[in-house]
Amino acid sequence: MLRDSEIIRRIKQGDEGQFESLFRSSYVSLVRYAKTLIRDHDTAEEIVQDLFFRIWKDKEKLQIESSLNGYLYRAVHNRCLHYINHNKVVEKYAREMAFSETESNETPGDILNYRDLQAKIAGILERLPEKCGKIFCMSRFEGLKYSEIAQKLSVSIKTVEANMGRALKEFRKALAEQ
Amino acid sequence: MKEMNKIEKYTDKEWEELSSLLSEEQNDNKDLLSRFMAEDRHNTIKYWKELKEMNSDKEINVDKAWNKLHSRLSENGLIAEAPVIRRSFVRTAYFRIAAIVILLLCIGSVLLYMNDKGILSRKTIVATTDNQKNLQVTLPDGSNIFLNRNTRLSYRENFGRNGRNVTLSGEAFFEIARDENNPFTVNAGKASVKVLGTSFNIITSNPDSAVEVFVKTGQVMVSGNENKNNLILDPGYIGTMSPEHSEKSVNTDPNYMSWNTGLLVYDGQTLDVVFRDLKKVYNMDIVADNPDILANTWTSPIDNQSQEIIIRLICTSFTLSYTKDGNVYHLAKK
Repeated sequence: MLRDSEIIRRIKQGDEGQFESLFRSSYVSLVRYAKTLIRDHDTAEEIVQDLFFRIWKDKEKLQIESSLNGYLYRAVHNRCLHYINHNKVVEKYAREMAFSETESNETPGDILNYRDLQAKIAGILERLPEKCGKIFCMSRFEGLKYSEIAQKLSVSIKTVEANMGRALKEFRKALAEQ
Repeated sequence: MKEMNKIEKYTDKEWEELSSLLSEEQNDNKDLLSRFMAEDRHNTIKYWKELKEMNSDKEINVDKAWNKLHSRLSENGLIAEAPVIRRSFVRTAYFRIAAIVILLLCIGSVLLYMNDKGILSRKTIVATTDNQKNLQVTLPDGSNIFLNRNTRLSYRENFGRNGRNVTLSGEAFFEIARDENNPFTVNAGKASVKVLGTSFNIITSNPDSAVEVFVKTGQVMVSGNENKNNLILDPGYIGTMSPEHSEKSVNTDPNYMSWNTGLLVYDGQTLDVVFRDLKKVYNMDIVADNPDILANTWTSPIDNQSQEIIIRLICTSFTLSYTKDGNVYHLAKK
């Protein structure tokens, strides 16, 4: 697997093959992530495709400070918020999905809406190292098993376990932050 | 701050176990899980699981999405119409000879093929010269192939319709898109390599003419064409196949894929080893005027630096000076 800096450099130079492989490797998990906020499947796909359209169109100007994964999730997050704000459906969605099946043992303070949850995940992904964030997304958004992740990234299952532990710790930390 | 303390309470090992428990990878440490559940005031478990569950409803078709994005990009003139195969050759006499040879080979193989099957199917051929490496070829199925120097890859126009078949001579790294129903086969002279979706490296240009396959991910099957042996290779293994002999061993060379990644790592190897690698990976010719220089040992990584920087790095490390004569660097003691 190439490192982020190398992938970004190649894309900036107009390497179509590299762009395509980035798209193919992150598309599913980004769409699922978008769906945590935008409940509409087709819109979620459009948001992610549009992001890649812009990345390629403005590739010369591409500036990525965090990990590539963190950047993509943050960008999808911003686009989801933009979409919702422009469609004036935010309240409706927030109410609909903010736990129609709320469990009785939850106090109001426990309940996050999905917008907060998604924002927290974008934040976590910016803090986590490249590989750790990638593994977290493959597990949570692509629904892959540890063994499948290990095979895809050609790392050991031990590495996946260690990184997932770290991701869960960050996840918990982020949920506890107000 | 109180919350932070709670997090500190678990060791890294426990976080690892907890994430395995919550991701349903294992379920034998129920005590740890119930302790965590009792303290879980922020619905960590609920959200962790929900991230996965709320999305399992609809399949996402990446090919369709890519085609849609690709046509939008080409409508806007941002990308070429159809996936293009770059052919940039150096215009030399060698090139012309190579072109004629390739042309003859192409005509020959088309004639053979027509003779064999009675159908005319066009072949796409991509080849690299001595000065080119890492030429990336994206096949119609999305698989990527990186060609090392002096390498030739070909496939028929009907690629993918009747199995995914390509022919290789030289060295290349393959990243194959997964397709369970359509196996990918590389015809590599003395052996053929069959996979469903994985990444691996093939060398057909070894001096002893054995075909060498190194597997990075997934599983690969190598079959001899002249003997009936099969090798099944797992990640990290190198298999070699010649008419007389087949064997597999674990790869111990950290620089095996350096021609593709540009990264060379060392752990006290002597400079003559380093120079041999630099020739292979960066096409650098370095000559030491005094053989003592070659006995120095090297421990820093070399990672996609320019030739100029690499040679300066070596000179500074051992107080040497260099002169450049054509494409050859000469090193001398200061």
